[in-house]
Amino acid sequence: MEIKLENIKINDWEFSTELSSENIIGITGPEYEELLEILRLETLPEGNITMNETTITSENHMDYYKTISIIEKEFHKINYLNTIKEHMDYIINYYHLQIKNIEKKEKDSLKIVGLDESLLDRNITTLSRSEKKKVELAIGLLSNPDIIILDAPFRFLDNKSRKRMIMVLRKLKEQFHKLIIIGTLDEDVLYQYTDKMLFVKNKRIFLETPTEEGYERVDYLKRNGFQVPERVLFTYKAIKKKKVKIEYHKDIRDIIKDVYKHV
Amino acid sequence: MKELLEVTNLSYKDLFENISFQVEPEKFITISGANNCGKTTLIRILSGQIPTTQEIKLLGMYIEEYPQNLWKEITGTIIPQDNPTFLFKTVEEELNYTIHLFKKAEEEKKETYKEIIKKYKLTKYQKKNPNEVPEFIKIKILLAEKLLGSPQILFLDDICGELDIKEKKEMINLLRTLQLETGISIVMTTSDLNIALESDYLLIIDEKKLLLEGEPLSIIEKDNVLNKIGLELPFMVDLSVKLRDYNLVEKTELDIDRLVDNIWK
Repeated sequence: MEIKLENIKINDWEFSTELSSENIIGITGPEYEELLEILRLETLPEGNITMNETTITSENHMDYYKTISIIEKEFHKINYLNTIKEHMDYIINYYHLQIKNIEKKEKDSLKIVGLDESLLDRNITTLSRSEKKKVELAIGLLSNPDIIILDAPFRFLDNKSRKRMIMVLRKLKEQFHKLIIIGTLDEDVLYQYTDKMLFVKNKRIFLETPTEEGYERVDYLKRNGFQVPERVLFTYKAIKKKKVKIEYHKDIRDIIKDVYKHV
Repeated sequence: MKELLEVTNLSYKDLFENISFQVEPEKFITISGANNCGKTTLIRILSGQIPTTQEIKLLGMYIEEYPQNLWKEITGTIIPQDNPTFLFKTVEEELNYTIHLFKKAEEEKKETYKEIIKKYKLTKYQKKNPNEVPEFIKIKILLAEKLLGSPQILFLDDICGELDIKEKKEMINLLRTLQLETGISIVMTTSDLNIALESDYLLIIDEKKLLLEGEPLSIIEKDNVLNKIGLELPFMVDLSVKLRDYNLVEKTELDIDRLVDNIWK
């Protein structure tokens, strides 16, 4: 999956970018939520947009809009619906999704995100926040979207659930070529789990870069008000203050090995 | 010191089995555990939303023996996932209404309002709809309202869960300031051990039991136990503990500069 956005103008935003399913994309910065909203393509902005080489126009816009799933920060329960199944059925009807065995698809979606299929008939209000977060992704997967946009997907998740969620996202990217876009202010999550970063500021894409390369520009990021993960700062300070020749690593075990070699 | 809150052999459905702990006055206690270990349910139990029988005492008296008015006077509870809604159209009206319930003299009402706006940094939100402001601001409004009643203990369910890192730091500072000024005790659940590190005492729940309790850093250093139950150690603690295993440092260091100085002396 590939989406090219050229000379986009909407709500004072101006930008161009190319996003492909070869990378998990991270977006951060004070206005990251606004960019996620634009990428959702609910409103067609000014500029050129192509998805897998097809130009998006006002005629075909809705067909492509349906191929994008956004996993919101917070689960929005529909007032008159109670169970997970009722919410899933609603989405299937709303988007006219052609599914042969609906119950099997719904149960499979729950299983993918690590939830028991018996939860299907549970009332949403009885779920914990972490369960709601997973249910939201399960619902988002029902439409078999090409692009999955996630707003702060790891909030409320403990380490085990977080690792499972990232495994699911990696699988969706690698096996099914879905374009995964994660927006969050949690720089440690972005550094560890994304491949390419968009740093946004003043309604522009301020910096578009491979993740590791971007976060290693510590001075530049800090000068411009972006947060830097502690695991990067540690290595940065060792290099800068102590002139030690260690390298940046995502995995803490690799940091330890490198420190051990250089003490 | 006499305990403010005493929990003795608390059991509830298949979530808790004989949990006991105490909260001293003027302490900030955090309760942590993996997803679905029952943190929110525990806050509901402690705050009296779920009835108990002779398992929880506040100020020496069982919860169920408290007249409802008195209970509301000495406790305050915030559970963000219940989506608390505000009655008024602006933050100013909302706060002034609550102030009106607790203060009599007009001058005192005005002064209290000014103090709240300053202390909670709400200046630019005064004319906004409190139901439409960011989560961080909603929590601050709720806290301000609860504190107006001068409760002795606050029960907070993961109020930092939705906040970004800067907001979390500001919230912890605010809680610490409130505690210092009023002597209030705070019992707060969190799945973020960075938050737990800032508290006076930490309880870890797992498999229905109270798994660990004590001074937060000494608990969080137990990396094997916490990793096993699915909790992520704060990076600096994790790094220090691992470096210590290799005899590269002697103790846990939470400050990056000091840790770097300790390794490469």
